[in-house]
Amino acid sequence: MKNRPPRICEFFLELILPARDADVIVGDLHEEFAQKTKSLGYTRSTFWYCGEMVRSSWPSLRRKLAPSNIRRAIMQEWPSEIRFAVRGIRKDGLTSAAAIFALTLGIAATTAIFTVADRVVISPLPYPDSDRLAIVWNDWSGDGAGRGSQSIPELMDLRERSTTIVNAAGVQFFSTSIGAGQSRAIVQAIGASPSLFSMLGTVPALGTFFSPGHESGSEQQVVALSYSFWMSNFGGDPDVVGREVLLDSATATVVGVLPKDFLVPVNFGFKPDIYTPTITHGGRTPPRSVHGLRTVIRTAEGVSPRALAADLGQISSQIKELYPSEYNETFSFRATPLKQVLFGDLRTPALLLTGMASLVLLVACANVANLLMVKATGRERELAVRAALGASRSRLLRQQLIENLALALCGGLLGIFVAAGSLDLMLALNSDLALRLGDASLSPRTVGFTSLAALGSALMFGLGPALNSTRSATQAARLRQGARGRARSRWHEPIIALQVAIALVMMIGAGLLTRSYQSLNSVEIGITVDQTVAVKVNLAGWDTPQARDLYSTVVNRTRNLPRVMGVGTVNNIPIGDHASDWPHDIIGTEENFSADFMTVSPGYFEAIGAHIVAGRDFTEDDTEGVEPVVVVNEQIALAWPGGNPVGAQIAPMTREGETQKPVTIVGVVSNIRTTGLETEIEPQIYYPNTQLTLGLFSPKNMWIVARTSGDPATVGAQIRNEVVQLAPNVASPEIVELSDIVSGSTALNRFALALVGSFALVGLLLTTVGISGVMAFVVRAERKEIGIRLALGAASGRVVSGVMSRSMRSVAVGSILGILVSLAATRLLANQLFEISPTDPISIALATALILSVATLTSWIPATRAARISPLETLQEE
Amino acid sequence: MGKTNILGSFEHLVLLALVHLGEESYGVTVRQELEQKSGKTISIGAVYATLDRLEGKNLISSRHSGADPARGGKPRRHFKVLPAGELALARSRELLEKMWHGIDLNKERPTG
Repeated sequence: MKNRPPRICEFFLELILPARDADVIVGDLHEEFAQKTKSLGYTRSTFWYCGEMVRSSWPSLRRKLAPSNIRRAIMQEWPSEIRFAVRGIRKDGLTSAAAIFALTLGIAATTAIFTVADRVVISPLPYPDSDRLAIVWNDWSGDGAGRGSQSIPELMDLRERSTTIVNAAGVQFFSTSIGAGQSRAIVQAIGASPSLFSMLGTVPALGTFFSPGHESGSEQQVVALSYSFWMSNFGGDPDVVGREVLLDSATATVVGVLPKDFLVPVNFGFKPDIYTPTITHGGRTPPRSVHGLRTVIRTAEGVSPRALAADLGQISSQIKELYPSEYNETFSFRATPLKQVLFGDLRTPALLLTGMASLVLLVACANVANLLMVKATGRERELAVRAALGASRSRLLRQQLIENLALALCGGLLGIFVAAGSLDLMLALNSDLALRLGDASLSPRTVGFTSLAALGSALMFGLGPALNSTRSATQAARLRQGARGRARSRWHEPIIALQVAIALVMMIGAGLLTRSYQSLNSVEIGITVDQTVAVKVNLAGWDTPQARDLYSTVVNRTRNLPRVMGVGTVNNIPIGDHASDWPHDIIGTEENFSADFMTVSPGYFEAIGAHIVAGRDFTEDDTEGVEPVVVVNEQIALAWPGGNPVGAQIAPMTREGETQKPVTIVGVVSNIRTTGLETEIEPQIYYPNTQLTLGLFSPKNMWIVARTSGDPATVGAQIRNEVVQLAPNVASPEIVELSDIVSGSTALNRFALALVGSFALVGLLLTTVGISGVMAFVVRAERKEIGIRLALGAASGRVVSGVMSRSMRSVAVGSILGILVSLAATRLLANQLFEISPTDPISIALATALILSVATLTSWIPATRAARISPLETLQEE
Repeated sequence: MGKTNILGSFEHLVLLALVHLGEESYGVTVRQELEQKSGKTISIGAVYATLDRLEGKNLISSRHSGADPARGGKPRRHFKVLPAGELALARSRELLEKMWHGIDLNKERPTG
């Protein structure tokens, strides 16, 4: 029958009551409690006990908290307590260091990741009432996933027809050239509705923003500068407002400078140089079918997502009715909360990593508990002596707790330092993430949270061992027993099993990501990545024939350079750029298909390392006067009715859906991945830049690509010099090596791998520390027994296996548990994996083998040491 | 001051309880005795505070018995009244009787 008072109450009384009476009073209450349970039952007796606890401890509590007593405690008792604690920490230097190390790693990992997760998942965006901000898309497919841009008339529709939206602003991305005096520079620009800045609560650093008049186009053109552009190109000149600059070829007046920390709401990573007003001409032009706007909206207060969706649905139906030729059946407007647009893709990885970091913290805490237990057990004799000399249990407890607190403080402080360092390292590894997060420094909230977690866990986990050791100490003192047993080592086994399981789960995760990264890297891109350089030229303001002549001159001159093996131009660089797709009719059939289209020069395929599979490449003879030709990729050829597209005719459609002049397919080129390593290969159509048949292309933005047997950087610089020689007014072209573009496209995968890998390593390291700590304890506690067995002639091999079995059993249990958990948990990773199953047997086998061998080694070393114990010495110790 | 040990009223009661209980006096019994006779709830902390004070005045003595499993392994503290304690009780009683002499509350109290 249960007739024992709640232990927590007993513990509290022992701590609070004066040492002289504590034991006796707790004993008296215990006895009375047992009597009461017979008449009142357990629950009512417990209430009675709690009442007694409060009444009996109140006078002591009040006395203890009296100012004079607190003063005395600080002046006299605490210095000696702290001295004791420091002495205790130093005495078990290795164990203490291991505990501090474990806490440091645990806290560092969690703090760094929580900072990112806080930003991505929890914190609101840095705009006032940011939960009322959203982006409205054109969803053509009607499947709720479409993210099409909008046109200016559609922006106007939202403003005029909506009942839930209080403000709608369009944002456009483009590049242009800006000139002031002699110098000209290509700049990244944003066209924004004047209302954007008021919607975001942005205050200019200098001057003003645009007025509604600027939007209608009735006033003179104006421009606002980004803070960094103002600093770098205008030297931070405070008189810049009112100055005139040339945008492409038009004059514009500088009206203001944006604040330093302004983030473009559509893409935090985009850092434009200048801002111009989006000109709407009152919604009359440009036409409804020109879609180039991202629309940021602010809803009225209290509008639910459902109300907004209903409102948008209504507006879509209205405009579909008014302009039936512009929209298809499934078309609809769709809103996504701004936060989801910005960080939606990071949410799952952030949560996953947070989970991982929490596991690291858990392993660290388990480690600390284990190590503290080892430490406490090693000190039983000392505690027993002190208890016999009259130290009360509360005094012994207090001292142990102070010691643990000191450990936790050391670990916590070190952890925060390491966290700050590793956050910097993390963001340095992934500059894209750093840009997207805007500012991500350790927030007081995260630091506070993890420090509390660490302190709390150290104290909580420390309490068990402290209670345990002080209880046995006082009892031992009373019973005059000094013997040590192996009973308490039972505590360690589940903890080791838990650590092994967690470490294994993380190892398997890291293994999966490694294998996924490997298969990503072995993807056939279809081009020669090494030794290839691309130079981006922007001839804004040039007319088309002029620009084309410049490219062909540069290409011809480059071809004659030493060590150049191929050169050509393209408007979308593989992996780096996103090509647009366009519908084409197949002449002579009812069929049509959609394909990405690009403009290339003769020689481009050779330069990039692709090869012609059928038919021919473009030549210099494919000029405007002769039959218009195109080359398609293998993907189209595979799906072609009849199998061979060479010789067939296709025709691109116009924006209005009518068929344009047909072109002839003259060749099939091997597949080239244009959008990314992880995406499917798209159908692609290449048009020659010698025949600008369609009005769809602008040769003003082009890449000149060259492959060399020498140094690509040198060739890149030579191409740039050629361009600058021919076009001195053009901004300096950008040089990129294709290998950098490819490695940049896997940066996020590398980053996730680095993080998960380091977590797994930390987990493994902590588990190793945990196992070796426990093994050291086992050997120490059983030293005498081992000595006697050796003296009686036990073979050292049996001693080794006996000691090892103490930890290996838990390791085995932990491994099985780890595999089972990871079979269930790695499914969460599935979206992050490329061509690798979340239950990939190779990853699981390798990770398990690694953990098992490390655990075996960690147990084997102390075990062999134990087998070398001198029987004589251990027997003399007694 | 010397032997002028004037007992406080609660001290007086606790000492009397110890005399009543004799050999059987320890925390639980002392408190139960006091609660039964006074009809009030008394906290164990208050009992021990008084017992400690009485011991400090050398009126009683105490000894610890061994650990007792029925008490969660805690010892029992037994109390015994010392001769000085008996003397103090006698004095207090004498003093009280002197003070009460000739007082009849029923008669004194105005009735109208």
